[in-house]
Amino acid sequence: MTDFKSIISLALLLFAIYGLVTTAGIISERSGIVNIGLNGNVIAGVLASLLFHGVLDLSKEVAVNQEDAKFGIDLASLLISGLFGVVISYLFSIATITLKGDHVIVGTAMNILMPVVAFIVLYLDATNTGFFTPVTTPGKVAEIRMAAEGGFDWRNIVYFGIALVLMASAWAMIRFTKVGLRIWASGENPHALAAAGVNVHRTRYFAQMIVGFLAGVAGAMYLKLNNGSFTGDVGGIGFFALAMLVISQWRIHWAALVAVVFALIQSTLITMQVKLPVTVPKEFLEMLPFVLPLVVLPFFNYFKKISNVPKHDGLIYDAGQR
Amino acid sequence: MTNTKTENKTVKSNFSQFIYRNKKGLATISSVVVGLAVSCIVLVIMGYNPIDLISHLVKGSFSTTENTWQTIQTWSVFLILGLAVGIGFKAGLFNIGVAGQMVFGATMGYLFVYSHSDMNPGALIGIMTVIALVSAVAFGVVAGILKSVFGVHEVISTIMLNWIAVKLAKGLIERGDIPKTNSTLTPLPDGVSTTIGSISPYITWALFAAIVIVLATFILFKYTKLGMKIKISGNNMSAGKYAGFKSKTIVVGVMGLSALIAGVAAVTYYFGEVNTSLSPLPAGHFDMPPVIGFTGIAIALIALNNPFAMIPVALLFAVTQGPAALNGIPYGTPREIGELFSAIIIYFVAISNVFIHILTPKKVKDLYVRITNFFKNETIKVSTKIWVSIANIFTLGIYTYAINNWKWTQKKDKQEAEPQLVLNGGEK
Repeated sequence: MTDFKSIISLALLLFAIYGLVTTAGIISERSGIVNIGLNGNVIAGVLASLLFHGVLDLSKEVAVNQEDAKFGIDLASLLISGLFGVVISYLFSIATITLKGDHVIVGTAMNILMPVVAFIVLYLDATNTGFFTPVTTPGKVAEIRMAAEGGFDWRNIVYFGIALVLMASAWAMIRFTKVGLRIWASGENPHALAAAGVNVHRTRYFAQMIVGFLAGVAGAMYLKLNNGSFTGDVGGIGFFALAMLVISQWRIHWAALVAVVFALIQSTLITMQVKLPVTVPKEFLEMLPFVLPLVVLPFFNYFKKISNVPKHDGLIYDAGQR
Repeated sequence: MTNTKTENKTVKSNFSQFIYRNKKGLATISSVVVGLAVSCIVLVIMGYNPIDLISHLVKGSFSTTENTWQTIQTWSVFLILGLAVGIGFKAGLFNIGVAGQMVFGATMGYLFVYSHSDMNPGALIGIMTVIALVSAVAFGVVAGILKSVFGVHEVISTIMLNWIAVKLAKGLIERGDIPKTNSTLTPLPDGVSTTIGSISPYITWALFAAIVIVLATFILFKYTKLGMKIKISGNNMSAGKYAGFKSKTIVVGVMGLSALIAGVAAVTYYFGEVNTSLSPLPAGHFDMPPVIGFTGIAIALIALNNPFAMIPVALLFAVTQGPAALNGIPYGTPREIGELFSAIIIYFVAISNVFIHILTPKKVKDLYVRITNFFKNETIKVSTKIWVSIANIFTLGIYTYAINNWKWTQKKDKQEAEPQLVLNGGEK
């Protein structure tokens, strides 16, 4: 029973993270920009959350053993990380939208840059002592947390709720609002959008801001998942999200379902790894989400009716080409 | 009279023609320079002295003969990686999967070496090389087939294949019949390595492979029909189709070729120096695709796919990411700084087109005029003007605050005052 409880508890948090990052990726690609640098954005969120916690702890404004106050700080750190993610997303969007750089190359640069920046800010300085000392050794995802608690964590329901609300509002925004429709159009046919008198660049910037916010919030949640330990790397959650957005065929409501499935699989794997002496072929099951897109994409390329790829996805918008 | 006038004109037009012709190259060079400058600024903010750091990097790369050979080894591996990505670029394919192809090839070779460790070392190396190359090619061909037959874009498929390779490698090595100590792989058995011991234990046949591949790619794209076909179908797929080329076969073949070169890099990189800090095959290393796989992208981009231009560019990366950075502690240059350089340079090269337009004095003047006009303009609301100025002052304030209160100005106080910081949730 405790096994079941802890699986569900972990799955809630994992769903929140996967769902948010995948939603961020979908919004980005709906606006016509392939954001491979999602992983970097998530890392930026983790970094901001860590720094926020660090600043608060340094000033000793919060009593050490107050769980509720700590949870309040955690929730506040979600907002802070989101805002920091928005700032970082400007790095990507300036290069890809205004300066018309190749999306994939800029994304690759962001993916290499952010872990290094995080590592240098956290663990290195000229005296080699570091601004923060690493809390634990580089931990496997959530193993420490599971070993320590092994039960149901009510805080995860809150994270789950926040993620669900954010995802639902993103879905509703894309579906029903004027801005969402513009984002959709800038991914399908930006020239038509420009002909209708809408500023395509501004629309895409707005979409990237949402992307940065969602990815940053997910980063702050990742810190909770990893029990406060961070070594400048989030285990490729951004790439995982890319895989999930391909599987869900650029639809947010499908992405929610896919995220539920993968969160359950992943949490079962992690919990079993801790609880049972039997060795599960973990790596091969972890491989599954990366194999599925390679199966799903040819399938959807064959059945074109179900396929839902934005038509201007990954192309550089140049007003002179109309 | 008329003669002198025309001469002047031709001189002028020659100069502008020179700039116009080498527009792309000049833009790339300026973007690299700007990238280096920005990374130096970042290092200053982090509290390093960039001039010291760069001199440390150069010294660390060439101070002793050992270091020099190590640098040459890294240089040639980087050159091979750049060529692997560059061939893909020529055919219009973006092979991000170099990391995965390297990892998969190296893993297969590693497994073979351990299952047949009682064989003659020479034969072992030969068969291991073949196995590693074949498995790397197989991995690349998968992406090529997915692209040409099923229409899956190669960027997505190679990213996924990277992670598949990493997970596969981890699973195979952890579950395989390999002696392990403390979850780190034991080094390869004696005599099994691709090094050339007669020259130096640090140099492998990567050097010769690099030279051969540089010449081969140059000849392929300059003098042969096949290279022309690859270039044409890379520039314009439908033009290639109309000309009657088998474009699908070309896609698969080029992905395979790119993966083959990546496999050469894997064999020389992972099976090179035995028992040194540069031998990077611990199990934990495979938690994510190795960053070295993405260095090739930067090199190919900066060199504009020219195989000879890749030689100096690869040297730049070998100095910043090579032995001086890897064995960083004695030189005070940690490994991450090389990656910082490379990431910032890639970022600026990606937007190098801007430097063609942005660096003219006229544009800078335009910007100044725009800003002044913004505040002079009477049709813009006063409230927006105030908001914009507040935002600017705010960012300026944050900047000055950061400069004044950052750790490198108050280093000593903090070291004495602060106890070990344990983050939220850590004490449980």
